Amino acid sequence: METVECRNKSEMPCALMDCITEAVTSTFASIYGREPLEKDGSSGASDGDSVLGIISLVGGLQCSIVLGLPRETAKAVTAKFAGFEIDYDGPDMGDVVGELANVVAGDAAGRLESHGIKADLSLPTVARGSDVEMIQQDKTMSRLVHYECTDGGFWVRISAEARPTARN
Amino acid sequence: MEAVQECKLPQPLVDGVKGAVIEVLDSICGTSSEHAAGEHAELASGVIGVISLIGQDAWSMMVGLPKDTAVAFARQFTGSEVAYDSRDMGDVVGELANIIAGQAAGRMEAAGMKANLSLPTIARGNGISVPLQYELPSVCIGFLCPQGDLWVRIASAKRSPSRRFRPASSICRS
Repeated sequence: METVECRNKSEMPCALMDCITEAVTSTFASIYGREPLEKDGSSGASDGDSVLGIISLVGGLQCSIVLGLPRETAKAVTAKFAGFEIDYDGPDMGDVVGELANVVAGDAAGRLESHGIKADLSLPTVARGSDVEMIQQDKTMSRLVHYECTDGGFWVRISAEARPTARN
Repeated sequence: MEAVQECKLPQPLVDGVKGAVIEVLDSICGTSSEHAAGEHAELASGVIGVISLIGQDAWSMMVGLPKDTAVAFARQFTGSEVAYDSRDMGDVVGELANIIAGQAAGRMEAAGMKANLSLPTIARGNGISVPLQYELPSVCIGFLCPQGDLWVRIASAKRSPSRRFRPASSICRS
């Protein structure tokens, strides 16, 4: 089940939502061998330490994807993704979470292209913090999806400015 | 702690962002200057705004405002009180990031580096730090305005950077 935080829920492009959530599911399924479960969630706030992977798609649409990994989930997921243990507080965490965001966004971009929506990926940006809360802006639509994988929970926030325009 | 690798960033990018920050802060706050003490992308408590630009190269910019600076800046920017934990604070910091990036993009375009802006992403939290990403040279520049200190972190890469880490799973896409 998804937590919907759209100020203009009806305008959130379905293709965008579908492509990104499918990309998240597919990426984590490829890491774990099984799909993560969507679960109930109530807010965009993360209690305790977490690391964020932030990446944008620019082109036929404007959207951003934030992958939020609580500390323990981050340590477990990055170890499986990279193939070796990653120190949560070390610099490698930035590279691995950035690359994970890149894989999710790249998968989503490929799916969007099959819908006629071409978009380029931005650089991934990674930030660590505690009690981190994403703030929705007035002119954006946003949706927060919580997941549970084998090693713990994580969330993905999708924000978009406008409907994507299909290219002929 | 953030490593400074300014030498690896395109100088027009660094100069363009620095100039844009000073111009924007001067116009909003009256005056501003570079502030050496703010050269680490860390916040004990504050708001970050992230915006990316995609052109021939890709670059990203993160603006970091400590809590007190964010509140004072929002008051100066809007002419009214904006609560730190309000949604409006996101709009203020998002707009600041957008204006700076837009100004910087204009300067970059004049230098022959045209780029499109992404949506800004805004987050609030405690103990914020930005881990170094090996393949992304970055620099963090501190600034000081009458409302307090803030920093701007810039990272840049050629398009389609190679990956340092490969997914451990053999079925993961490359």
